[in-house]
Amino acid sequence: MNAWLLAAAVLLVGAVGPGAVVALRGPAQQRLLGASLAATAVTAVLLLLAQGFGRSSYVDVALILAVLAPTGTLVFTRLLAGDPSGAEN
Amino acid sequence: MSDTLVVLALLLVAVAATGAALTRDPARQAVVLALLGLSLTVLFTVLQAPDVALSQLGVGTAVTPLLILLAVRKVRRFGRREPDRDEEE
Amino acid sequence: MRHQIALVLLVAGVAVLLLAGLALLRLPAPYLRLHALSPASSLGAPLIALALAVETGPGRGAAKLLVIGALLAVGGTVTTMAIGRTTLRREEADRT
Repeated sequence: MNAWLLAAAVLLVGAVGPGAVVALRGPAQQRLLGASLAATAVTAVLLLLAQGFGRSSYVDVALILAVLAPTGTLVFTRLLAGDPSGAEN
Repeated sequence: MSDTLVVLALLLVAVAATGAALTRDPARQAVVLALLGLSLTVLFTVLQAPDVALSQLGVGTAVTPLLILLAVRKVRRFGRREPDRDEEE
Repeated sequence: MRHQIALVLLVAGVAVLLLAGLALLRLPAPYLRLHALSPASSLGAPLIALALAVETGPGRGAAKLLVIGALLAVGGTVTTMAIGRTTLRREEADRT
């Protein structure tokens, strides 16, 4: 039994799960909230998995995600805010 | 322990993929697709394939939603211009 | 001793993230939900990165983990601000 893997499993249920539920309901900007919480939690999960499996090279995946997630969210907000016709649907 | 993680990641992928298939509005669907990319990344990492997880991260989290949002924007602009031209004639 | 400190930090970080998940589900209004997002990325995830860095011990690995923690904190703050602004713009667009 590995404390790091256990923490990763708990986070998958308790933090990524709610993020996914929020990301599946409501208007687009509310879904973004759920998606970005899920991204933060997934980064933590990937770090914990790297430690739990004992492979330090897995940390690279978490590093890339930590860079890509805010960039992706900024692109989303830019395109959603700059498109007033999107409010009709 | 590792089996539990695989089952959790698979469940997450199933939920995200079903949600992506059932969402109608493309702008909202893009957010759900980003979530699907995230959950696939977790699945691949749990299955000890961090290189696949890295490429999935780049494609699924950043590029696919961006392409969809840009396409939606282009189509909406084009669609808005069409009726105006009809009125002028 | 170092292992115990790492475990305490880990439990604290996981608790913050779980609370953020619960809050995101329970809070009704769009702006209230933003308050669930920012502590998760600026407190919870860096705490976990710090726990892993303490467990690894001094060296390049720990430095990398701390850099990831800092990136998460900065990125989370920027994300929260951007989503708040977009929510405001979309509400204005809906009203007019």
